Amino acid sequence: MNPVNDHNGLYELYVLGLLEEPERGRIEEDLRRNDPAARALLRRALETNAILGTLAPEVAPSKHLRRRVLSIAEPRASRLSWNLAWVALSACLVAGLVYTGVQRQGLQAELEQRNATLAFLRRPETRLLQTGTAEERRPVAKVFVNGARGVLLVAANLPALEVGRAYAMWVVPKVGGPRPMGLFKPLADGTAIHLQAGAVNLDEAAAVALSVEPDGGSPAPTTTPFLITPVAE
Amino acid sequence: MIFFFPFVFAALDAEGDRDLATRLQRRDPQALAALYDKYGRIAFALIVRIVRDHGIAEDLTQETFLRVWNRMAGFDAERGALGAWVLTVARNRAIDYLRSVDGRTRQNAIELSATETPAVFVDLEANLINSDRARQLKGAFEKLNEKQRMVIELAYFEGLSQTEMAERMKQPLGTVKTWARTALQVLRSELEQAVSA
Repeated sequence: MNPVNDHNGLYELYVLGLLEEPERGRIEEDLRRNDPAARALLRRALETNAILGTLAPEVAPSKHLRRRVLSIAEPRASRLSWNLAWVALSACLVAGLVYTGVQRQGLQAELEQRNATLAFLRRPETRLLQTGTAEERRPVAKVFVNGARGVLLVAANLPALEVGRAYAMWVVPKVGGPRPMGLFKPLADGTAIHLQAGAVNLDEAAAVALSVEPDGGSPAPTTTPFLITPVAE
Repeated sequence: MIFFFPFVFAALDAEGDRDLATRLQRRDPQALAALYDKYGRIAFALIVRIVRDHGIAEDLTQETFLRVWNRMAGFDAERGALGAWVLTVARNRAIDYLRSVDGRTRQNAIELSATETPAVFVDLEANLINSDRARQLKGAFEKLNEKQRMVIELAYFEGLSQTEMAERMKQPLGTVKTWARTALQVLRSELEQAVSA
């Protein structure tokens, strides 16, 4: 008997991700050799498993779900979210300038410049350009801190979260454990704006970071923090 | 467990999957709408069957289509089986969710994401997901004995490995392997006979 055919009946379990050693290793060896019989069994297993999905009882989804799914492809979503992000960001900078008491003359010039920037960003034809394909893009973020007002995060390319999970922002002090700065979920296009209002002791802060947590939050990071942004002196 | 199969496949032949895949690769938003209208209901029903929660199933259905949308570049529009891929991604999202909830870790089995690579879904039967095939599968499923049906349910809808099935059913691993293998062979044999008839 053809050794490949000895595995007949196991390919379905293999493509379901359920086959264990040693059978799994034998099938992978067949596939690595590009054995035509193995390829045929793999195709049939994919077919059988796909059709098995139709055994599920019929259930009607809500109309809202269709809108949610279609929002994935909305070309304006990315531009809109970034425009909103930059508007929020610029507004935060303006507020920061006011708060720090820049002299009136300098402030006026700054405000005019910010207004021009806002007008530019508000134009619907303004687009954010990004390099690389969606899968190549790595998460990026800008973090703005204001000791009296809080922390503003503007991020893009955040991976989609599993259900029941959220991104958590943390302020990592120079001494002691990270301080939670709120939870958020990105839009479908991977962008997010998260503002945690409230005083922050910047003298004691070493960095701002993100982690993935249960959407109920965690007292401390339970996954490896990323997008770690140092708080400069 | 009682299954029903009567999905309404009225729209399934309205547009060829090949054209649909090509439009999806061009990032045509209307193509995503067509894809959802064609497979969204089936994907949602499958996910509900696995996670048993409509709200979570809606989240996972959105994740399914997001993943498909983002990975279309790797799909072979000429030879690929779009429906089979969408349902595989949908099942995997639901099983991943179950595993994350109950803390089941992968011990011996391969990662699900490796089984849904779009390039794998080539040269499958055209228009695979349709009402005739669903009816044939239901007929084949009813020919299985109780134990065989149970292992199919545990494997497909709960994502249990054969070892986990043996523990759940309190049966020797070898016995469970025989049930699973026989059941899958019967299903496939019945489906192939139906196609050749």
